[in-house]
Amino acid sequence: MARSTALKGGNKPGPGARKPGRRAPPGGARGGGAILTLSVIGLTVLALTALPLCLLIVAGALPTAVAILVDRHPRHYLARTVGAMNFAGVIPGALKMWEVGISFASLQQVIASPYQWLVMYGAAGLGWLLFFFVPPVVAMVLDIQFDDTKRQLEARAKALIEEWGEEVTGRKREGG
Amino acid sequence: MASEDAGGQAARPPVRLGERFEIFPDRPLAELRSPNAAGFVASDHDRPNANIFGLVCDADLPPRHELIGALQGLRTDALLVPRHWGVVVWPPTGRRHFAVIFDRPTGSRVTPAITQPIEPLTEDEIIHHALPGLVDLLKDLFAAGLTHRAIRPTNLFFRDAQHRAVVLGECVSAPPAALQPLACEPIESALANASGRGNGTAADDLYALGATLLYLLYGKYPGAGANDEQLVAEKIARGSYAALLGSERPTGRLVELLRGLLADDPRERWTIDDVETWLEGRRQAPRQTVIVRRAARPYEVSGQPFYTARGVGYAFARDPAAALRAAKGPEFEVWLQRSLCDDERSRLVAAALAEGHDVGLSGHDERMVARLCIALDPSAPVRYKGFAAAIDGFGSALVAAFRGRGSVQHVAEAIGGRLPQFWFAAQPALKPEQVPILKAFERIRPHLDDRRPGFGIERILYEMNPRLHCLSPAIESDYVLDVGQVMAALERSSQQRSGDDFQIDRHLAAFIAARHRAAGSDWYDAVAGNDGPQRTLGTLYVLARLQAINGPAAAPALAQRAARPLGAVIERYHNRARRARIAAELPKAVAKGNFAELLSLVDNAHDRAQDAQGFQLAQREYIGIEREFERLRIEGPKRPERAAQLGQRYAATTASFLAWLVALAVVVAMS
Repeated sequence: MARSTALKGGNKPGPGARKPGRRAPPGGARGGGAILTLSVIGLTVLALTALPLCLLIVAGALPTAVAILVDRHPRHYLARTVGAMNFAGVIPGALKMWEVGISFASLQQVIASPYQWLVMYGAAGLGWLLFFFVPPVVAMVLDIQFDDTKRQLEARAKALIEEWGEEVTGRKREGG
Repeated sequence: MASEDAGGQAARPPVRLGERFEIFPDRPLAELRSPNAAGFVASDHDRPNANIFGLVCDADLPPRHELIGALQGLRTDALLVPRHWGVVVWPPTGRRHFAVIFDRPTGSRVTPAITQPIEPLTEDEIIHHALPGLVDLLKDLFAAGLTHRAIRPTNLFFRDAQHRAVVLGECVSAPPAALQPLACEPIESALANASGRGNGTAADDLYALGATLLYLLYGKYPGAGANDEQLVAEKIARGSYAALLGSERPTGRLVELLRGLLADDPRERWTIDDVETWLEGRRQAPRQTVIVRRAARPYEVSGQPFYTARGVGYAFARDPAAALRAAKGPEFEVWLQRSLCDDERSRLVAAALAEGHDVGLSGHDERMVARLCIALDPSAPVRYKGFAAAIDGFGSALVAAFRGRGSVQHVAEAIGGRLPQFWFAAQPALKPEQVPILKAFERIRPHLDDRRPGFGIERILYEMNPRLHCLSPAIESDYVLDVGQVMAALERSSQQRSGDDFQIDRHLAAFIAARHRAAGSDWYDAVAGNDGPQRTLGTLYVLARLQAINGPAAAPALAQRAARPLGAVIERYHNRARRARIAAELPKAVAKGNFAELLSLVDNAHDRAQDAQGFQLAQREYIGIEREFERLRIEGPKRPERAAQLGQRYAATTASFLAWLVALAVVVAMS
């Protein structure tokens, strides 16, 4: 763990060690491990109490599992995005089973419906799309912001020079 | 000369002097002119038939202002008494002059030049007609603490048709004794430069009276064939009486009087009471004869033998190199101690050689020679590098030097070298009237070391000559006597030469400092600085203060000249809008010619504070902008990475939000 690595470094931080006071990013590898552990525990409990529902969730959350596996980011944005959307897509099927009664018959009824699969995997797909398309949009917004800030600063600097002369920049000696 | 061009132009209108008098430039009176002043016909509005004339003084030598007022109240027929005086605009010279109105003498001048023989007066004419009036006059003068210092044959006018009674001419148009021939001056005074003879004492006037009587008696100076230098040498060697008489051996009643008046030692010379007593035919009180100490063998200087300390002092002053050789060799000291046997002289010579802590400085040797001369002849003037002035004649000598008749530097070095102080120390006793002079020298000497405008030798000039007009080239021709007239004169001068910038020169600064006691050194600190804008502002502040004293309220021509370098002053403001506003308002303020308003425009304290404060804030803001630019520059390459991070986070957040929204919607729909 990042934090423990830092602590092991003692008073002399070695190469690659984190600077004292800096915390490991929240939800990093350790966070991912916790989620996985919690998921396994939850699924185990669910498998013991409602096996058909557990099977539906396992089958429906396969895109999330893939996302968790491929996501190397410490904060697991891909897993969180795909997972959230995938979770939203699984809910209708799970609720339908709940209404009918949790049994293998209701499981068969749900998994036999292509519409249910489209909703579960389509929602996960939407998550993938969100993850890939939002960053370029943000980059574009940041570029616009940057240009605007630069333009404003340049305009103000020019106005100051016009009002107070070149000496306001400190590059020309006062009165010189 | 004030008389230049007189008569060379078409008829000029009379020149007004005060409310009553007019002087006619086209009607010169050659017979009444003084060497330093031209005479012209004058008229008095209140007394149209008054027989008066006006003397228009040259500006080169200062008139005796302090004496003019004192003489006005004198009731006498034996002197040309000033009736009125003042400054006039004199068209022939195109400048201002000091002019004095006198009653016109009834007779002609006794002689136009002492080299020109006249018909001698008889002893009776002198004793019964010429002398009594002069004695009464001098008695009144001396009683008032005044001296004439212009008693000479050429300054006498006949008062009657028989040419027996005489009237003394004016004594105010030039410095005391400045125009006296050496024949009429006692030895001490004759040793001084003409303009540095000083007011002197009654004894000097009595000597001049004796010399004048001698001339009247013989119609010439029997012993005056020699030139001035030889005459002085003769006076020193043989005594004045013998020198002036030459080979003549007078007999008769006047011999006693002439001997008494021409005595070279002032203590031995007759007083005015002695002359009066003699005139009345009474016996003189016995007078102790002063013996001049003569050496047993002569001391040779430049091949000439001298038997007296005064003679050696005279020779040393003429040949400083010989004096230096004497000072460094043992012979002179031996002569002093063994041949002259004058302990007091030996003591003073030792003091003269020992004093002087300025070894190595320029003029050290010359100052030592000057001290040596004082030690040998303490009553003689201070003599230094050709400059020679009586202790009360430094002021007028300095004026003459500034007017091109001598070296200003030499006067400054004499004062700076404390020669006057040594002169006082060499006197047997300090006379009461000399105390203020000594104090004045002590007071003014520090001015020499101060290089700022308002100080230096110029300040000493005006301190020593309290009624001298300002010699600043800018206003000299305006004959400004008072600080209150300076601004008006500067404005007149600026109207004639608007092309050049105005600057306060050293004379103007010194004149103001000496005449206006409220003018402290703060008036000139800025004027003296090297900072151009600060100097311009300093000049404006001085002018504003002068304008506040006596106006005029508007001096636009002067303001135009003084404001010319104001561009640099305006540029001291940082704010461009403020600069533009001041520059736009400046022509209007200059046209008004009010310096206080001009200053409040270009050097307003509120404006200055606001400008400085605003500039400081602007600088801080600019620094902030530069930091922001730097931040943008540093963060630029990281922007795609940051955008990706932010985008992924936003995507995760959006997905979470949507998921909860869908879940909520499904739950609501199914329930």
